[in-house]
Amino acid sequence: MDLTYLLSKSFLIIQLLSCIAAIFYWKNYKNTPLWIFFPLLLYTAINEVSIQVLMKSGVITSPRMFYNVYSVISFLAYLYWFDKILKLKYWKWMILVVFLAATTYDLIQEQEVKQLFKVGLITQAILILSFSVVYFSRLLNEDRVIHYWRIPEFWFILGLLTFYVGFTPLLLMTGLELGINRVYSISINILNLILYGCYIIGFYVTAK
Amino acid sequence: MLQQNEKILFVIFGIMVLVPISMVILFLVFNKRKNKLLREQAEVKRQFEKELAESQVEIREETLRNISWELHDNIGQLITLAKVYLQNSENDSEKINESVEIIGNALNEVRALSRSINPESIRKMGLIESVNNEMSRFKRMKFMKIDFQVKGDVLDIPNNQEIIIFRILQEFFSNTLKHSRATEMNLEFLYGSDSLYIKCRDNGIGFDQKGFYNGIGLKNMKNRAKLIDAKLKIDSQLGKGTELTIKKNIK
Repeated sequence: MDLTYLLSKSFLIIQLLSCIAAIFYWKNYKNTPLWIFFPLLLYTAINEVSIQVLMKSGVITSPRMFYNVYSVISFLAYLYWFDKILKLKYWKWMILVVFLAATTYDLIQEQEVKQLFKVGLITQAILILSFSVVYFSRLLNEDRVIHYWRIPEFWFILGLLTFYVGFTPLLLMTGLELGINRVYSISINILNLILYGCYIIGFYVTAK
Repeated sequence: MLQQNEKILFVIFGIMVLVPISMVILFLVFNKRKNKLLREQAEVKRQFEKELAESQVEIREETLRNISWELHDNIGQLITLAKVYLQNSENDSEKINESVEIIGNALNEVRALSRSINPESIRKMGLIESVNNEMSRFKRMKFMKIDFQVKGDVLDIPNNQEIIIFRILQEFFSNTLKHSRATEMNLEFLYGSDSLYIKCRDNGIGFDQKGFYNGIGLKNMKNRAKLIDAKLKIDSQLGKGTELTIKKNIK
């Protein structure tokens, strides 16, 4: 069986599992900023299933438009969440302006939304990596670091950090025309497996 | 084609190495920090237990010193006085009656002392009543003018915590009586909605806060306060009296 196919199916399965975990553990985190992951993961699952169905039926030939919209919405959700846990204050507005400016630049440059919003995605990756580093450096200076594996946010951010550590070089290379589409797909699937795996652990930890 | 495959392999290899390495580094950093904090906490706990053991020995010694002082200077004096009266009474009923009264007072003092030492009595009487008992004892001994006020609605405090608060106050009273040469003492219990604030002030000679008293006496009181998670502060200046404040949150 083809590795790309196998990984894409595993990715879909783990994404759905994370969605199920989000529903199952909802009562444990509904009153915390983590609640944003519930609609986000539902949207992610619907988005992925829609792409698969539309691609298979031939309605669309490229899923990039869906992923562009998804990347904007997911970043807004992440920004909301990081603002709640990091208390970004007025910085969130500046970050939002920078991200929207990068996305607008992509729209102007590409003329259409069928290409990936590369500048927007790189900006998003850098910002999320920065948020993760800030969160971890703050956590390291708190007493609750003793039980860090019991902190749900730790797992969510670990997933995001790991994903973007792998995703950022990939993103930078796609512009170099190295012909790495297959690699891109395999790597993205592996990174997504780690990301959603961490989300599932994070949801599980909310019950502890 | 070979060149492209090499590039593909290189990218996969790079990412697949970078990702687990970053995860391993992160876990190593967190574990290192966790272990450091655990070691620090263990050291703080060990230090606290050592201080606690030291202060318990000191508290025991202090209690014995106080009993000795009470027996010698207070009860002993009364019995001596009764003995002198009886020796010189020559069957004079008035002197015998006075002696009986003095012995009765001495007996009351023994009972009051017993009550103030015995944790069971404090448990039964409660904090306010125990402090009142102590204040009455001081008034009877005519050591100084005492003003004791309770403000707010009295809240329930667990018995073991009440005993510790009482012991802190006893240590302060004892030091005031023995060393301060105070003529007045004001004690105030202020109950808030979820806290107790105690302020005790004497008009004695005060002390240098860098001195010996601060070293052991305050440490004992602070250790006791730490046991019940209360905040304790002593302010004193030479010639300007001493003030003890205790703040205890009541959950």
